[in-house]
Amino acid sequence: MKQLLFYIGLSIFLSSCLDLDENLFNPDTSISEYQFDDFEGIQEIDVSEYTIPQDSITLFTLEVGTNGEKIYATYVGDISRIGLDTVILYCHGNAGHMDFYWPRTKLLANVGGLCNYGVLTFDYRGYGLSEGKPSEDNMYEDSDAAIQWLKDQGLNDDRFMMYGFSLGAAAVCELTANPRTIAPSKIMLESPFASADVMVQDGSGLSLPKSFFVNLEIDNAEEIKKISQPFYWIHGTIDDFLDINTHGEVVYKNYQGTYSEAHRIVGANHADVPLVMGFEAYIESLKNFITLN
Amino acid sequence: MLKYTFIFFGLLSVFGACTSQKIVQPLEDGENQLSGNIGGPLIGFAGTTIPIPLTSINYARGITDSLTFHTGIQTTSLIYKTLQLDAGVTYGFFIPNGWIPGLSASGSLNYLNDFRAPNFKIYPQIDLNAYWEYGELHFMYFGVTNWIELSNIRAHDEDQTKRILTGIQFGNTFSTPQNWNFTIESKWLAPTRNSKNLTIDYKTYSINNQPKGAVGIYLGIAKRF
Repeated sequence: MKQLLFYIGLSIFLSSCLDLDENLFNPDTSISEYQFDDFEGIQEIDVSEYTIPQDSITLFTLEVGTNGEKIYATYVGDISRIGLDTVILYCHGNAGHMDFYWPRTKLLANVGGLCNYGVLTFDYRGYGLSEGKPSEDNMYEDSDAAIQWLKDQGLNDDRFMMYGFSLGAAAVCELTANPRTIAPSKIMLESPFASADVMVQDGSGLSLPKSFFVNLEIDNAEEIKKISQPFYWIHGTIDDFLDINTHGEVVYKNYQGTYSEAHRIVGANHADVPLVMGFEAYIESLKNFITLN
Repeated sequence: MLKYTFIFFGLLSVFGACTSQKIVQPLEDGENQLSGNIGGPLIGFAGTTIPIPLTSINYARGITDSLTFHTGIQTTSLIYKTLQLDAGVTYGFFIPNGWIPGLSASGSLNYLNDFRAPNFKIYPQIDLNAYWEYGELHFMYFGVTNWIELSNIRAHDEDQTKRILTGIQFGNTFSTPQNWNFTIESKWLAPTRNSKNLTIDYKTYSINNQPKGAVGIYLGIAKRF
């Protein structure tokens, strides 16, 4: 009987000690500095024809969390004009760091002309040189810290846009549906996932709830229902990571706001949508959405 | 292109039917068997291919010479806060005779309950195996397994379009005179389902250049007494 109680106790102990949540995140901390155009590591698209003047790039840190951990952010544009300009906050995906996503930042900085709109991007805690550990709550808190910084520079919600790629779509949906500082006037989601539930169900082949595995609350397909701001969705039709049908289409279908537009890019995979679409077409498409009245 | 990998979805993937066969050759009346298994679908991970290390502990008892009760617990799932139990019976229709295989069928219920939220799921499972004995103690087997999805909807109220998760398995059980059994099994799960557009990088067979389902490798050790 004692043995039985021991094993029951051991089982309960084991069952209370392991979580998979942290493993969601796939940061790269191998860099020792941010290099932007000089970065020689893997990048998924090559936009070398687009250049950003060095004096338009500002790398800085923000303090986040109760321990004042430093996260790194990059503003492309004229910081002194944030009070006047339209600004896009770019929430990057799950791989790498700001250098990895630098080509995408550059494309956004060319929407409507070079540095026509300001672009802010940042590394979540645990990504790149940012301190701390990645977590869902930290991702939202870090994104809101970036928003707070923009607000402190004079940005108001009318001129504030959010763009989320893949994992970054969760930060956009969460902070638009449940704003903590200011809410964006428009949102753009590229290759978003629907929810942890869908990832579990696609991966397992069964309709298992996410709570069988994780505590994550990420649920873009539900959060999008609370969003009324104009919504731009773009997704590759052959996305082999986040299936357009089970992820992107569900998010798009659940949107109940005032205006939405869908861009299903034929032949594009998860990370090459701007490339397959064509950089100029991609930029023009975003400009048309941002300038839409 | 850099392949994005949400590592945890690989780790967590029970992939439903991702266990080896519990009982293929029915036990004798009154005979008991305690077994442990490890293995799961092959995934790409950190530049190599590994099986997801799912583990389970199982018990079986012969009710008659042709009917065996079996039950088990998935220990990896338990560690990650999900209780996964199964119980069922295996019935042997006839025993092998030379090249004519023996045939057994199993009916089981799988119960999953998580410790995070009040969620539970039940999956009926039906398996059919043909097996050939050789060398007096050993046998090899080939069969199909089917998990049945009872939910009418998927996440976000999307329609449930796939009701049955099928797998094809073949394996070999080596036995010792001391009643130890060692089993190696390979299973091709969901061979008709496209597994290209998933967060998990399953290493599997392709049909028409499309990766299908997931291939699993399992090892088992059992003691009969």
